[in-house]
Amino acid sequence: MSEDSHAMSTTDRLVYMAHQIARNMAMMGEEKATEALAEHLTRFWDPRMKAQIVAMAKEQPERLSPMVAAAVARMAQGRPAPDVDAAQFNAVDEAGHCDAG
Amino acid sequence: MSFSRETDHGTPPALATGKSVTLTIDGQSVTLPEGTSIMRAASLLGGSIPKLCATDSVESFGSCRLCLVEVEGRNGYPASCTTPVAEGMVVRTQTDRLKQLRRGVMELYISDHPLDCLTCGANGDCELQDQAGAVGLRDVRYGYDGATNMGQAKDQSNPYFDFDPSKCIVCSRCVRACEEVQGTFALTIESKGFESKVSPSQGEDFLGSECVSCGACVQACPTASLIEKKVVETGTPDRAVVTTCAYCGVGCTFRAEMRGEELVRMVPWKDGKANRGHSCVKGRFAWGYAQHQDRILNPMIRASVSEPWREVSWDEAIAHTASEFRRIQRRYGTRSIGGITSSRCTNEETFLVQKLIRQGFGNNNVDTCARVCHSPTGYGLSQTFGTSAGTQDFDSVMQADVILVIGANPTDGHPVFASRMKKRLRQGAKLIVIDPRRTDLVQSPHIAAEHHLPLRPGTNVAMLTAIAHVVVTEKLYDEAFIRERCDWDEFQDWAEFVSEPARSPEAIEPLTGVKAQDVRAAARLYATGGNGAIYYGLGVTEHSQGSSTVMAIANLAMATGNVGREGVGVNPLRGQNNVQGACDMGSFPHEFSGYRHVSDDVTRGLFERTWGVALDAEPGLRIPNMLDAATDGTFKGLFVQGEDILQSDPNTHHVAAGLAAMECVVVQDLFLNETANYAHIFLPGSTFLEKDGTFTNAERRIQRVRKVMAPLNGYADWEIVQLVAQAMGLDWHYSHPSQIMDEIAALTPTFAGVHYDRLEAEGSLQWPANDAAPDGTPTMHIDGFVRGKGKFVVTDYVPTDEKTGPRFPLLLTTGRILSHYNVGAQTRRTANTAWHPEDRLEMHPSDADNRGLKDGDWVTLRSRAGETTLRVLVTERVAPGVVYTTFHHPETQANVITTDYSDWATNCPEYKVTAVQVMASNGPSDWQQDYAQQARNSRRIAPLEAAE
Repeated sequence: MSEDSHAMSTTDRLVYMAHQIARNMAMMGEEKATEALAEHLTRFWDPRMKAQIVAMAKEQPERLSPMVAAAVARMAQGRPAPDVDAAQFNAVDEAGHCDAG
Repeated sequence: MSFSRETDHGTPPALATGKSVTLTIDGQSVTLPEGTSIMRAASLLGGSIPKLCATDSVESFGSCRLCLVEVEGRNGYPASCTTPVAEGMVVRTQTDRLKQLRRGVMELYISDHPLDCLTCGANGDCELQDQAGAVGLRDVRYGYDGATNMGQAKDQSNPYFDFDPSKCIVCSRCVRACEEVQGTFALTIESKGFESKVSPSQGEDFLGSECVSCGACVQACPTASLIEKKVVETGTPDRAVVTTCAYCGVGCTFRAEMRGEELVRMVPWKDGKANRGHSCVKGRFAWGYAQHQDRILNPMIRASVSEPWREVSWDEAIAHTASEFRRIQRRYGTRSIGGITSSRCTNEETFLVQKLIRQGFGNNNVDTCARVCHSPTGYGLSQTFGTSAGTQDFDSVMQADVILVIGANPTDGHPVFASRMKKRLRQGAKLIVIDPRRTDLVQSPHIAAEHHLPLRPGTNVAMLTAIAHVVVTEKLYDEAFIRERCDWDEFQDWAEFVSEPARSPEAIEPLTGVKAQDVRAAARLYATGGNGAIYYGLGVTEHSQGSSTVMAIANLAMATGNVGREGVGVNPLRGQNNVQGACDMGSFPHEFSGYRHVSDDVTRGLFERTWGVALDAEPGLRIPNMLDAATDGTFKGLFVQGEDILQSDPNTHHVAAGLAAMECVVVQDLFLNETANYAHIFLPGSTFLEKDGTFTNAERRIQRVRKVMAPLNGYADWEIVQLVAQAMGLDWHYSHPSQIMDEIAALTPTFAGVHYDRLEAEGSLQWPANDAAPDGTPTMHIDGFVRGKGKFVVTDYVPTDEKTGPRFPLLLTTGRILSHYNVGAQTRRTANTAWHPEDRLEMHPSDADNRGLKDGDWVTLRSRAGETTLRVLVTERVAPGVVYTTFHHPETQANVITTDYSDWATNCPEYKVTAVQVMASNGPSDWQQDYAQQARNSRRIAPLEAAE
C-alpha cells in the first residue's frame, strides 16, 4: 500500500488477510501453522473468498508465501466450495417457496 | 403493573457477616443480620418509621431527627437510621413522646418550605408531604414571617431536571447520592447553618458543573427541589412497567412510569441486578428520540437512490422486499444476498433475522455489529476458555482487590458499572489502567490509579506479554491452579515464550513508550494483590491484533489463577445493549445460536429438522466481506435491521461503494440513517418501549423488555421480520416473542432453561441456564473451563501495518463519550446534545503548538483513507503524538478517516490505530460538502398523491 493510497482490490485484500493470519500463527511452527491457517480459512471464509484465493494460488502463485500456499492447497482439498451462481438456486419461485437447499 | 412507589427501607442492607440478632420491635420479634439498622428492621417487618434524610440507596446520615425511636434500657431517643439492631433489644417506634418530638421537627422543616403543594410538581409524590401527614402535623406555631430560604431562583440549566433551592430541606440525600451512588462528587452543601444550601461544584449551575446528569440526586430528593422537567410538565405517573434500557451493555432495568400511553419518566429499578437502582444520563433521561419528529412511521420504497422516497402500504413494502430479494437470487445466486442483525434489537428479533437468512435466504450471509466491536472477544475467549462471554456478574467487582482496566473507558461507555467500580476503589481496591489516554478513572475525586500505563496505540500485545514476562520470570504464577485447571504442557510452552528477554518490559519499552519499572510494578500488583479482575473494552478488540490481545488477557488471568470465583475474571464490557445477545443468537456467519459452527452436522441437523429445510454448511460473508463482494458484483442485496454501517463501519468510502453497488438495500430503522441514503426500501422500526422481548447484557444476563406503548409504526420489529419471512414463503406464525424464546431454548443448550415464565419469576437469568444450572450462572468456569482444560495460546506481537510517517505522523484513536451512544442516531435526537453538540479532536498541547493550533480551531484530519474537518480540543488527556475523536455525528463522519485494516482472526476493524495528519482548515472537506448534499437529496420524501 502506498503512502497516500488505501485502495485495495478484493483479491489483494484476501491475499493480505491470509498472510496476516499466517504472521499471527507463525509462532506455532510451520507445520502447525499451516494446518491452523487451512482450518481458519475453512471455518471462517465464505465459498467465494475460498474460491478467489484458490484461483489466485493457481494464477499468481508468486503472490502467496510457501506457507500460505500450502494452507490454501490444504483448505482446497477439504470440503469443496460450491460455485455461486443462479443455477445453484433452483428451488425458489415467485410465490416464495424455498427449500433453501 | 399499577403505580406504586418501590419500598424504601431507609438504609442499605447490612454487610454480610454471617451473624444474626433477634430483637423486638413494637412487640414483634424479628431475627435479622447483624448490622441492620432499626429503621430497616422496622421496614422489613412492614412498618415505616418517619424519615426524611434516610433512603436505602445511601448510607445513613442521622441528620433529620425524624426517625427517633425508644429503646428499652437506653437513654434518649436514638435515630433509628444510625442505630444498629442488637440482641434482645426492645424497640418502640410510636409513643406519645416520639410523636411530640417528630411533630416539632416537622414544624421546623415546614416553617421554611413553600406551601404550594397543590401546584407543586411533586404533589402526590413528595416524601415531605407524606411525612407531614405521617407525624400528624396540623399547624406551624412559628408562622411564616421570619427569615426563610424561600423565593430563591431556580436552576433550570440542566435539560432534564430543575433545581429549586426554595424547596430544599438540606437533607443531603442528593449530595450523598452523588458521592456514594454515582461517585462524581459534583454536589456539596455550601455555607453553614441557616444559610446552608445544595450547590453544584463551586457555586456553578448544574449544566456548567461536573454533574454528569445521572439522575441519582433527583431520585434521592424527598421534595420537589430536584424534579424531572417532564413531571413538572406532565404530572405524576399512574402506572409503571419494569423494562430494560436500550443503551449500552450494562443492561440497566428501569420502571417506565407512565400516564396512559405517555412516558413520564424512567426510574432505575432498585431490584435490577445489573444496575442496583442506578442509572446514567442516557437511560434515565435520553429517551425522547422515541417520539422525535424525525421518526419514519410509514414504509417507503424507491427504484433508485437518486429518487425521492415514496410512501407505500405495509403490504406493498413487504411484497416488494420479498420480490426483490428473490429476483436477485434468481439472477445472481443463492449467496448473492444477506443481512445484518441489530444489537439494539431484542434477542427474539435478532434470532428471527438470522433465521430468515439461513432458512429463507438459504445461506449464512448474516453478520452483526459485533463484527466491528467484540468479535475478537468471541474468538479469543472461545479459544482459551471455550465460550464467548465474560466470566463474571457485575456484583463481582465488589470482591475484587486489584482491578485492571485495559482499553476501556467505563465512566463514559458503561457509566453505571463504572460507578460500582469506583465504589469498590473507594473501599480500597487497587487500580491499574492501561490506556493511551488519561481517562477519568486514572484520576478523579477519591480515585487514583496505582499505575497508568499510557501505551502507544497498537502495542497491547507487547504490553500484556511483558506483564506475563514478569509474572513468569518472577514466579508469581499460580502453579496449583494451572496444573489443576489448564493444560500444563501448553502453559510451559507459553511460559518459555513470554520469558524470553525480547518480551521483557525493558525490551518493549521503545515500542510501548511505557517505562519498564512501571510495567513491572503493575504486573506484580496484579499477580500478588489478591483477587485480580480484568475489565476491557474496544481498546482491546479494535486492533489488528484484537483477538491476540483477548487471548493474552485470558493467558494472564489463567496464569495468576484469577478465573472461576467471585472478584476475579475476564470481563469484556460490551458496547451496545444487546451485543452479547446478538452474538448468542447466531448472528455470526459461521455459527448457529450458542456458538456452534455451521459445518457441525449434528447441530445443523437439529436446525434443519426444526425448520424443515436443508441449511448451508459453508460459512457466510462477514460485513466487510459483503462490501467487498458487492463491489466485485457477486453480492447484490442486503437487509439491515437497526444498524448504520455507513456511519459506524470503517473506511466510509468503501462502505458507500459497497452499498451503492447493490441492487436492493433494505433498511429497517427508526430514522432515515446514513445507510438509508443508499437504501431502496425503508421499513420503519419500533423502539424498545413499543415491544416485548429480551436483551442480554455484558454479564450474560437475560432480562425482559416490556411493551409500554403501542408501536407508532404499527408493528414491533419481530412482526415486520415475520411478515417478510411469510412473504418469502416461510411458515412462521409467532404471536408473541415468548414463542420465539421457546424455540431458542429448544435449539440452544445454553438457553435451554430460559423461558418467559422463568424470567418473570426470577427477574433475570444469566446463561448458561439449563438442567445443569437451573438458576443460571453468575460466575463461569468455577469447576473447570467450558472447553475442559484452559488453553494458553502463544500471542506474538505483530505490529500493525498502519504506520506513521512523514505525511501521517500522528496516531488517531476513536471512541465514545458519556452523553452519546454509538452513531448518535438516538442521543442526537435528545437534549444530550447540550453536553456534546459536535465531535471534537483531542490533541496534546505540544502537537497543537507545533501546528499553530489553539483550542476550538477548525482542522483538517487526514489519513490514507480520507479526510474530514472538525474542531480541535487541546488537552493533556492524550499523549503527544496521539489524537482522539468520537464518531457520534454524521457531519464529521470520523470513519471517513479509519482504514480497512482489521483484526487478523475476525476482521474487526482497527479503529484504534490510524496514521493521520492534522492541519488548520478553512471549512468542510470536499467530501463533507458532497455528502451533505447527497444526504439531503437522499432523504427527500415525495408528497402523497391526493386520494381520488
